[in-house]
Amino acid sequence: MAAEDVIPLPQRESAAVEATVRSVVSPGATLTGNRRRELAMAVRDAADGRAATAPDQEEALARHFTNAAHTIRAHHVSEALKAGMTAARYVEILSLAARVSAVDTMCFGLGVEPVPFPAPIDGPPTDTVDPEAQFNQGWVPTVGPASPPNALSLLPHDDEAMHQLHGALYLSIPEMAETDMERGLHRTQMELVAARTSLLNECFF
Amino acid sequence: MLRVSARRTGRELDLRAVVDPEIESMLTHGAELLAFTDAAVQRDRGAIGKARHRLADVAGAEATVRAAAVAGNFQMMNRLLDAIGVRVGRAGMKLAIELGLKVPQHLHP
Repeated sequence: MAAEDVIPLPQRESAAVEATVRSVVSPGATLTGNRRRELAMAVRDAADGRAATAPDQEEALARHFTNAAHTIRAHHVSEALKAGMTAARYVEILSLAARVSAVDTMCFGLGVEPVPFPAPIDGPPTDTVDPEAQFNQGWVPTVGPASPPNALSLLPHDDEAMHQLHGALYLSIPEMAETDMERGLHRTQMELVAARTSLLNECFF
Repeated sequence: MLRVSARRTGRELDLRAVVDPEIESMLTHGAELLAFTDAAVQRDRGAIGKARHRLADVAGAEATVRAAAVAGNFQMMNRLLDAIGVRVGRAGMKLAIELGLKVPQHLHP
């Protein structure tokens, strides 16, 4: 294999990337498809080190999530909410930044070009939030105490998209109970990659 | 989960390799996995081709796909957790201390 060779995405991973870019350009809970696409482009620019000339609050937040999420503190969230951003908008932008970062990292690792975002899908925001979500040990409302599986639970569509992507790229939540599984790598090898990624991101989970 | 998985499956592991990749993790292809992860997560265009090549040569394309996918997944999860203020559990705190990592105060249980 030559060093410059690309490793194509297998079918399941390719489908996960396609589902993610389609989701990105579709109307979300509080944003139109067009606005979500703009913010997703900002995520890609930030990841590639392209500076923004005059980012608005939402774009600045998307960039912050992309390149320095570990520096976010409670006051960043409360200041955003005081400035008029809803918790749902905050979570929606976070979902975009996190999921685009996931698929673009995978593509970069394999030498595959990032999949372009298609034209935005028309339509108003869905306004779909989970009425059960409350502030519970986190900075945004969640269904149950804030934890990895329910980080996006305020927004059911984003929560579902995150879990689908999690299952395609790594393991589903039920599969995580299986410590001796093989999926290209043994579970222990997968966890080595996971732990090193978290360390590089200065994340302690 | 790394330590749990290694223990339950009888694999030897030196967890310090997560913090210092110069240390041998004792896992199969551990050095290649760590080099690939570093290049992918840090978007190191100068290193990723060689790291991908080395990992694919020793472990195969399927393993390389999974390594890229897992790195991507944790790019997502790390951002989600840090941005909503999920606190580190007691086991995580204990492990951080063991590895010499300083967990920010706001993430303490």
